[in-house]
Amino acid sequence: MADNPDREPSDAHSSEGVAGAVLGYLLAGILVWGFLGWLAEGFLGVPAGVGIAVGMMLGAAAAIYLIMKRLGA
Amino acid sequence: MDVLALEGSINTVGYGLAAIGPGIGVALVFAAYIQASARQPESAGFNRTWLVLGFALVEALALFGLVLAFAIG
Amino acid sequence: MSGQLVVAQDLPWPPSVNDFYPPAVAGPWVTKFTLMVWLAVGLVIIFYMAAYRNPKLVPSKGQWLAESVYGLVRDNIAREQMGNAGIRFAPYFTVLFSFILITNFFSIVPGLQISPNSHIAFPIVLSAISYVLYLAVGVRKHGLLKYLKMSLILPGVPWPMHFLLVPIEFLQNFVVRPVTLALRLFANMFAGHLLLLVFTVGGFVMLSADNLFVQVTSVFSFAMAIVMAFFEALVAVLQAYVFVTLTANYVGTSLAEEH
Repeated sequence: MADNPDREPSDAHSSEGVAGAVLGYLLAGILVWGFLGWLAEGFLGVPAGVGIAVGMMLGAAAAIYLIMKRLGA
Repeated sequence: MDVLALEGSINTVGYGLAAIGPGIGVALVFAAYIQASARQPESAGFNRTWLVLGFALVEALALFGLVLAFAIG
Repeated sequence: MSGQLVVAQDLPWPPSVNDFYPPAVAGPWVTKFTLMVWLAVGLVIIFYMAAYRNPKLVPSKGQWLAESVYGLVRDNIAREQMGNAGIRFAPYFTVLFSFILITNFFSIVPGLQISPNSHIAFPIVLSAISYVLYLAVGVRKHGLLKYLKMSLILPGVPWPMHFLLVPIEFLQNFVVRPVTLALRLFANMFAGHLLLLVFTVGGFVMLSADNLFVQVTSVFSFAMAIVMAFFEALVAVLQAYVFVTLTANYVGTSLAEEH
C-alpha cells in the first residue's frame, strides 16, 4: 500500500486503529457501566455484585453494538 | 507449603488464568481471518466485519477479568 | 553495573522500582534522565540540521538517512493514516518518532542503560501533546460544538440508545485514548528494563553463589540477557512506530468528515 502514494484517502480504518479502537471501546463500556452499576447497587440496595455484573454486561453489549456501527460496515 | 498462608492479592493470578481462554480465542479468530482472506482475497472486506465482531466478543471476556481483578478487593 | 565480580550481598537483588531512581547528578533538578532527554533533543536537532545544511540531489549518507526516516513517517504513517492531509503533520511526526526512538534506544546503550520513557512522566508529556494536538485540530476544523457532536453522537441509532452510548464514546475519545497512549509506551520500557535487570543481575548473583552447578548455569542467564537486549531494540522501534501511528490515527479521525 505504501508504494501507491496516489491512493485515495479512503474512509477505511487502518488495522492498528481498529484494534486500538475495539479495545478502547470495550474497556470504556465495561468501565463506565460497571461503575454506574456499582453506584446503583449502593443506592438501590440490591445484593452486592449484582449491579456491577449487570452493568458490565450492559456496557459490553453497548460497546459491541457501538463497534459494529462505527467500524463494522 | 501452606497455600492458605499466601499474602497479598491473588487477583493477578486469577486474571492470568482468565486471560488464557480469550488469548486462545483471539488467536483462533485472527488465524481464521488470515486463512479465509488468503484463500479468497476478494472476501477480505466482508470477513473484516465478522473479524471485528468476533474479536470484540472474545476480548470482552478478557476485559471482564481485567476489570473484576481491580474491582473486587 | 561495573563489570567486575562483586559479592552477592552488594547486588540489588531482586530488581525493584528503586532501580529506576539512579542518584541525582547535581541537585534534585539535574538527574540522569534530565541529561538523557537533553542529549536526545540535541541529537535530533543536530542530526537534522547537519543532514539538511547542504542538501544535494545525490544525497550523502546522513542526508539519505534523514530522508528515509522522513519518508517512512510521511508515507507509511501520516499518509497511510490520514490521507493526503497528513503531509502537513509529517514534520512533527518525524521529530516525535526520532525523539521516542532515541530515548527508547537509551535503554540498551552501554553506560546509559535506562530509557527516560520508563518513567511515566515522559510518556505523559508526549501523550498530552498528542491529546492537545488532536483536540485542537478537531475543534479548529469543525468548531467546538460540531466536533463534540461528531465524536460523541453516533448517527443513525434510535434515540434511547444514546443514553447507553454517549458515556462510552466520551470515555473512549477523551480519557482512554491519551491514557493508553502514555501507558503503552511506559509499560513497555519499564518492563523491558526490569527484564534486562533480572537476567544481568541474576547472572551475577548466580555467578557469586557457592555452588559450582549454579555458577555454570549463570551462562544461560547472560545469554538470555543478550537475547533480551536485541529484543529491546525491536521493542524500541516498534513502540516509537506505534506511538506515532496512533497519534496520526487520532488526528486523522479528528480531521475526518462527518459520515
